[in-house]
Amino acid sequence: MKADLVMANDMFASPVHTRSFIETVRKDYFSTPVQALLTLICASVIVYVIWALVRWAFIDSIWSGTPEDCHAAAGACWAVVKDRYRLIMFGLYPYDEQWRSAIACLAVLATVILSCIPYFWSAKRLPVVWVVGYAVFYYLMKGGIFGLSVVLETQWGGLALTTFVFASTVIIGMPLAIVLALLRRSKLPVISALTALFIDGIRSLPLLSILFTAAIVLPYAMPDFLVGDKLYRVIMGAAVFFAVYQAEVIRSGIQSLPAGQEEASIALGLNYWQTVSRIILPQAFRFALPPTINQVVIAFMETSLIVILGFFEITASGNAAFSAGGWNSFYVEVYTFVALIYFVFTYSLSMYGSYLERSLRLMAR
Amino acid sequence: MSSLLGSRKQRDVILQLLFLAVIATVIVTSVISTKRNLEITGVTVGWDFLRYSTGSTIAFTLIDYDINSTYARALLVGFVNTIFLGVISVSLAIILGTVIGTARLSGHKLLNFMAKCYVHLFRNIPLILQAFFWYSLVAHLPAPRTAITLPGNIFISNRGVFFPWFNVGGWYCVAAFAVLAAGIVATVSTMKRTARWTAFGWLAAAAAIASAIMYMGSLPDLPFISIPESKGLRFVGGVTIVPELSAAIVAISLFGASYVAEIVRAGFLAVPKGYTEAANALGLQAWHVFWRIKLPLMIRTILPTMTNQIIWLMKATTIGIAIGFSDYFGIISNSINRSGQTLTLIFLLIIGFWAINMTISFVLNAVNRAIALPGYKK
Repeated sequence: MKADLVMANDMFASPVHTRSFIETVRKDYFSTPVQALLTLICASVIVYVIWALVRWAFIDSIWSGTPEDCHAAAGACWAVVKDRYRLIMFGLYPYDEQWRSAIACLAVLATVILSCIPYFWSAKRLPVVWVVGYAVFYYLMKGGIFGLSVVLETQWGGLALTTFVFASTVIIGMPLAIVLALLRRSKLPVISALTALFIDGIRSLPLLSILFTAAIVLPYAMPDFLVGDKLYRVIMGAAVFFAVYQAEVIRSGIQSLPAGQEEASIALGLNYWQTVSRIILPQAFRFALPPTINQVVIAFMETSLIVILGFFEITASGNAAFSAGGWNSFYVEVYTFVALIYFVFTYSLSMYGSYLERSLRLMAR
Repeated sequence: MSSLLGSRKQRDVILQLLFLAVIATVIVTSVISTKRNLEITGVTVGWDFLRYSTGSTIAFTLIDYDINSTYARALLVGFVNTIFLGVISVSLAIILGTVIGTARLSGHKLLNFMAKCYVHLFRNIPLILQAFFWYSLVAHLPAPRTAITLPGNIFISNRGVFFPWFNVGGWYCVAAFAVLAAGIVATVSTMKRTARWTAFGWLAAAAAIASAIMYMGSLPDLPFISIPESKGLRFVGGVTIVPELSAAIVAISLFGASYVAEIVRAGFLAVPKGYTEAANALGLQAWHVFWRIKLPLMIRTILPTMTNQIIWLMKATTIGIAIGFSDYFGIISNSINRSGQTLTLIFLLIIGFWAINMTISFVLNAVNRAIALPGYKK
């Protein structure tokens, strides 16, 4: 009996044909003359680029020294990054207190990593994580408690300022996005129409003009006690811009839910708030997770726009790093360093986003 | 029951009235504060300043402008510059993005790998950082004296890119270009229905009319084509693409292409398998399957997403201000500094971008409806 089963299994097993390496290469890369030519061209381009990069970045490069040493070398001048990394990362934050800046940035990084773990995906846990992470960042940077000296926002700079604007944008923008999405879905025509007008109006403007308006026009249009610091007005502008895009993401998440979900919860006698907070939003967020991550990545990259309004965030501190002390011609190294910081963060988040998208698609099957 | 319904209706009305009241309060408060703050600063809001002379120069202009020109003229210069930068960068982004998106799906693994590297590299670095990078690169090019010379009298230097151009009035060039573009559209759209030679007849006719227009518009006492010549620290003749413009074009088109590539890839993946299988079964060549089946269906699938992307890229041209290109936003910001007319100018900024966005979405939605295939959804 057992033997029969084994035999049956063997019969149904597909004929496995393992290709040898050479066979694979021939089939995939040299099957036709055109393909062979393409393979040769691509391979030589890839090898050349990698070789040139390695030679520039590692073999011919200078890791420490003066600008004169660098001018003598053919490769990259990482000495400029070594000499100026404190300026790039922390801006004009007091030198002896810069460890606070570093830990503060790590706190926000930890917050983002924690929010990628499914355990924290609930309406109770996620806000706690963000509020705690944000508070740690803010009080470490600002000081004034636990014997830390006070450092004003005007002295914040570099990666720390970028992180601050990013975290503030998300923490203000996300609740606002949920409110806007719900208002737009409202069955009351006046509310939904006006919200739609607001969302579509903001969406058709460049972020830069919103930030500009927040920095320059708002002081005219607001009563004096509300005006506040330019930095916070710009953050509000960025948060509103994030919120209108994120509101549409959440709304499309809600729309992809089967109508039965809402009907069933109403039939069970749940009221509006229970339906929204227990049934609609948790499921909508699950659908909207990949595009939400995409929005967060975009929000992180777009913090760099505030350089135009005169803030000393990481792009500006990068510009400052090579514009003095004879480092003038080593802009490529500084930009590479700054780009690498952005790239590591955004690339890993977007990879995580596409991993989630794949697993969601599998779940839906 | 009726009383319950009545109370719900009442509640709805009260809620909406409350909502309106909140919005009205916000608007009234901001109007009152604006009025008071303007009285304090002593600025009178109005449109009069548009007729005053700006007293400043603009580095790159496509239409006539000098130091005595008005603010209205300066804003028009900026608007034309934005459209110019946008049209060039978006077109380049679409062409490059389509090529890379197609490479992403080619069966060839190395080609796919290269396209993938490109997309990830350019998507994950902020546009403004890329713009700074390209601008620094352009600024560190050799001086005009030692400019890089390309065949065809093209010179690349840190003062800009110089290449030969016709000595023809600006509007004649625009008209000739428009005729030529119309000819290309006519050729492509009639190619499927009529014989090849009829289709190319359109192109030949358009080219003839365009040449005639160029000839009519040629400036007297000058050679038809003006060739840039090195004169010490600068070049004379031809046209100049200022470094700010070339850096902005390179940055926006390379960045945009990485997004377009992903849209194109998703579009190809969304073409139902049955269509390509049917085309293969009918014995069409691989090239025809791509050109006649996959590409047209892909374009129809991605057009709505692409519309949003194009609008987004048009908005991204505002980063020109970071590297000193005089686009609409840059001119507005400059005019605010000079005239103090913050509110009016911000209003004009918003109107300008709304106009651009509305035009793009109106045109592309019309195209979307016009090319929709009956029975083919998505």
